Amino acid sequence: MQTQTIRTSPELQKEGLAVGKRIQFVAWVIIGMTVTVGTFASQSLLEGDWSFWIDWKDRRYFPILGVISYMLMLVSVQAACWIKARLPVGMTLCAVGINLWQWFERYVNWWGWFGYPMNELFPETVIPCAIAADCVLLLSRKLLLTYLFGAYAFALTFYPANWVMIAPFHQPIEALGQTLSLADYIGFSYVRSAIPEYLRMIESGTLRTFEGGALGPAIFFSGVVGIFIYAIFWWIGDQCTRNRWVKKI
Amino acid sequence: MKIKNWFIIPIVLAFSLMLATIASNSLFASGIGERAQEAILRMRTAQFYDVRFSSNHLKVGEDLVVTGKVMILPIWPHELGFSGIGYINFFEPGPRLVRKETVVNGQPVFSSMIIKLGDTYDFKEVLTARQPGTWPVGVTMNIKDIGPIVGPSIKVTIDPSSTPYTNTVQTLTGQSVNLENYGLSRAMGWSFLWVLLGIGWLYYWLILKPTAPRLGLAYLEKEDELVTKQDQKLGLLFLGLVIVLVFGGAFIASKQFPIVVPLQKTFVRIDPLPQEPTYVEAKVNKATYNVQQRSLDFDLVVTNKGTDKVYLRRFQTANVAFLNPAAPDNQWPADSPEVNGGDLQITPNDPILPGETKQLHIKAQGAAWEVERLSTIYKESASRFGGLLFFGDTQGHRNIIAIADQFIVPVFQ
Repeated sequence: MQTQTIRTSPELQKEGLAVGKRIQFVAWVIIGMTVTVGTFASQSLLEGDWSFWIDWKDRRYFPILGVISYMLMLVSVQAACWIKARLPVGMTLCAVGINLWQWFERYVNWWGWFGYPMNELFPETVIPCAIAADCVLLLSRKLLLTYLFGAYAFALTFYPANWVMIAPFHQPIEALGQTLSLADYIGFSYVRSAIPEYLRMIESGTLRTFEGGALGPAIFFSGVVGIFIYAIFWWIGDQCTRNRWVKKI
Repeated sequence: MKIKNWFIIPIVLAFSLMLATIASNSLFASGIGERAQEAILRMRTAQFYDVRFSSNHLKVGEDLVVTGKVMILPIWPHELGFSGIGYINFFEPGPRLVRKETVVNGQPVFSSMIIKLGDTYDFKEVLTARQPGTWPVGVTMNIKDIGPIVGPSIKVTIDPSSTPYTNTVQTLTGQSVNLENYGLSRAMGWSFLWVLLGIGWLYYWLILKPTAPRLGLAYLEKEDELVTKQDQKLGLLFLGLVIVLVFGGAFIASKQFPIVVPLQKTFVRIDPLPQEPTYVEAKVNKATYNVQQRSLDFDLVVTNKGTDKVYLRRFQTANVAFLNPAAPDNQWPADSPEVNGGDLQITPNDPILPGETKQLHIKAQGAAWEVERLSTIYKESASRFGGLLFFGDTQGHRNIIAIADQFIVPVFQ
């Protein structure tokens, strides 16, 4: 009798929907925070200083490591969200979470505690890359096309999306008897005692071909590697969502 | 009165906040970690000397000039490997002072340097005080594959200034920029825009659409009910928006900043200092470290090839210096940042005459061996020591002889 009343009462149904929406919101916030932590762990371990310092964001390693380091976790979460609920949001969820967390963490730790200026260590963004890859998945709904075009959508948008932010720091200045970019000089001025200059792993010398253009090959390479990473980590994401992990034994 | 449960959480939070506040104010580094390094590294690789800090009390905006010399010892410990790449660096707990200039052997240096065994590098670093407080600072020589070899350090007190700190430079295109915050609002703006777009995408899928029913429908593989035409239209719209914003933004940025250079990376060759005439030869014969007495003893055979009598004035290793009180005008300099190890006991302590070859017994005894954690030399994987011997004549000429590879035998009783 009581169940029947609940089923037929429009007020209770409305209230039930509202409660359901709240639970859903809280659940996604918790899931978002969890995947953010996972993304942060894998991304910081793999990308590290390239993500941190303005004078590490070069034309050769930054587009490759930036893409690869983020893709691992983002693809796995994308696979989980898609397989379990056909939601093309996994990448964007991780990307928004980690971007907000990086800004917060760098403000508190590196600006607040150590005093580094935030323009030396603002985080890169992969949100546009993640939205693009999620859209490719939604539009194609095919794994192979997602591997191919999703990986390339991610890789192709990564550097241009961040170039908007780092371009001003590549203006030339004359300092210490040579031409430097503003980013180089910021890295020199705001001393990192534990990171001597020779540890800065950035483009040096030349690619010896491609007319000196390091960026194009780097983006192309990150896209190619991204296809394989996509396939591998989609499989891992798929495996992680299997019911076998929660079955009683 | 019983404390109710709901009251405990604010108390715990307030207590945690209080602890965090106290910690954030008192847990800044009080040293630069030089004693954490193994004695083998500090005594046998690179030796700083003649280091001077122009002041230990500054106002925000005032300059600190650090000068000195660092010698790469001529016999490098083979077990450590020598990469030949070095970098004169400054040690501080975050950029409390901003580096303006580094000059090595008269050449301005931005990059890492190619260094050679036995060479001495005369350096000058100019820094500007940025953040008020008292900070431990020092100079280091970073050597690739070895790490930082820490030189002498001091504590600098920086007082606030009435004008806010700015770090202005001029680009080659004629624009003046303040490096303290240049480009930050742009980066924040774009990040904020992308976060908004990402939240919009998430809002559509995670808030507007109920998730729970999708789990069941996905299990039943009812694709068409889960991904509608409207969803795909929205996907197309977002994809288009992303492409326009990304490539449009990059295009506008390239128009705004048409002249850009890639990050600069190279290694610089530094011209060596002119060779000083050598008029003293010295060789260590045997060395012991007396653990109980905290004393390093060694026999030294010295030959004076000059025309004036010479004294052994100083023995220095890893920023600890022992001075010979019998040498003329050999007082401890008031502005020396090095550690005063005590008197250097030399037997016999007479000057070495021109043409004379003499065996001296040197005793460098003091608590500094323990305090500076150098006494561990006999417990490390290679019980050897190095350092610099400073000889001087009455004319003020100085000859510096490096001890680089001497075995040391501990004496326990």
